[in-house]
Amino acid sequence: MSNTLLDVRAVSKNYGSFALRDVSFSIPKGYIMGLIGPNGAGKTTLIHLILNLLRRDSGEILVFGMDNIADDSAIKQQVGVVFDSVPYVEDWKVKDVGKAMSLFYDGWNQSRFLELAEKFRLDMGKKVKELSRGMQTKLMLACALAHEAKLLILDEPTSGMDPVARDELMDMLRQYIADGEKSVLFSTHITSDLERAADFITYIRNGQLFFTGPTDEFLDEWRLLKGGRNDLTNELREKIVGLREHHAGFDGLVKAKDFPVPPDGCVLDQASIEDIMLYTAKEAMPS
Amino acid sequence: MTGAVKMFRLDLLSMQVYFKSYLVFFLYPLLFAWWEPVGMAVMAGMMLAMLGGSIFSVQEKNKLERLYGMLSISDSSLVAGRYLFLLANCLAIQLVILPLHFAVSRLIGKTPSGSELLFAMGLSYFLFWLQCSYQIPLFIKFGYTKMRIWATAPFIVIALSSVLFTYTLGDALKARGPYLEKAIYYMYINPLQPMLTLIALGTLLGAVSYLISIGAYRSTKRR
Repeated sequence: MSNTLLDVRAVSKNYGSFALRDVSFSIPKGYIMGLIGPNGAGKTTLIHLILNLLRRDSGEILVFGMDNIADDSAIKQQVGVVFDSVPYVEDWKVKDVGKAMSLFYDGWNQSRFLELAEKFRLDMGKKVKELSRGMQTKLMLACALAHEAKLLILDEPTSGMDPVARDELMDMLRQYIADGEKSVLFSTHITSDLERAADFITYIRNGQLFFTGPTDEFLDEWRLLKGGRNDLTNELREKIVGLREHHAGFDGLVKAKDFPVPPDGCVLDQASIEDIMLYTAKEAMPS
Repeated sequence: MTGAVKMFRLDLLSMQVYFKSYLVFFLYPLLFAWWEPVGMAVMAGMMLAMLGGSIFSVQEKNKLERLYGMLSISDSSLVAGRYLFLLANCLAIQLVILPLHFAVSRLIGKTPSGSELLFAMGLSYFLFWLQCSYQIPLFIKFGYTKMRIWATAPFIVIALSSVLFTYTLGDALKARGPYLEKAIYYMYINPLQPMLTLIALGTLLGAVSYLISIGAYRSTKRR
């Protein structure tokens, strides 16, 4: 098996009103990739395409070097999935979820599941619908980890979770990839989660790939430019992405290579993932 | 086949929490038993088929397509498992209906013949698959909520046509009385033949429906 666990090549899917176009990215072993983009950008569609819940119109998706449609069953033996809400029967008890999952995974480890349930303080006798949002995510995670998945795919797992639970999840993910053999694809629009955990970023905007690569490279590419009203020249205007003018002045995103030093009267700040997403999304919106 | 058995077990697990309410529905056919024990078998077959759709209701309510999508199971095994679950339901109701049929017949002062029991069994099986073969591909393709009204169509058609048949062709039937009597007598002296014919027809319907359902399931992924 190559060093790449997930390889998405020029994947397209057209719904008519929305289209995902020529999206390509790959995740090497031992890393976490954050899949970001505003709501409706196509993150969930992409995850559904990877999981073969939807059929792509064109392109190729290789998981562990195998085609995700032709080798669907073999691939899923080694993939763990965490959705934004539980995909189980809500009246099942936690132990029933374990029972159901154990039917399908050759590598299911019941004692590992029990161990994780204990670690996550999951009551085996409690119904799924009685668990809090954070506990439901932990249940999905316990299932994903109990069958020794090599690739974890998480679709907005932190939405609705409090900061403490989100922090715990991030720690778990870092532990998960620590042996260098496993990877994580983490879709979220809460980008602060990714600041400390994601090694790579794939940013999708309006169904198209905006960026894919190392998180550091993504952050280094952009700067946040701030200045007073009189500092905003026409030349600057052309170079600013997502320009925002207000009573005190302006701010916007600029390419770091275009501004090795800040223009007169302006300040250049490090942009966060959220800044980059916000300003570039604003730029893409019809005025 | 292993995948289908796994899916069958998952369906059982999905429905186990609704088992009590499921049992209540089984009581409906009993009402018909006082009218006519064969009617009970007929109703049981149809009711159970209607009830078989409830697995799709549970699936839709809990958005289980995502669960199926993350599991290591092929499309054909997934659909086969669902049909296996329905078949198991059908066989289970036969086990319940046969002794009930016998008991109810005795209670209303009749002695059910073996041929009557066999015919009831075959008819129940056939009607079960008649209903299922129509509704399952619809549920798979369009979902339970959208299709639940349409799924009752065969039930309504059979009920209406039997009434219309009696009214419009009643006299013609009387005229053909001797032929009908002969046919019924033939069934009584050859109980296995009509039963096996009905079972074969029911199984054929189920098999065709299964193939259509696989196509329907795959087409949902292309949406």
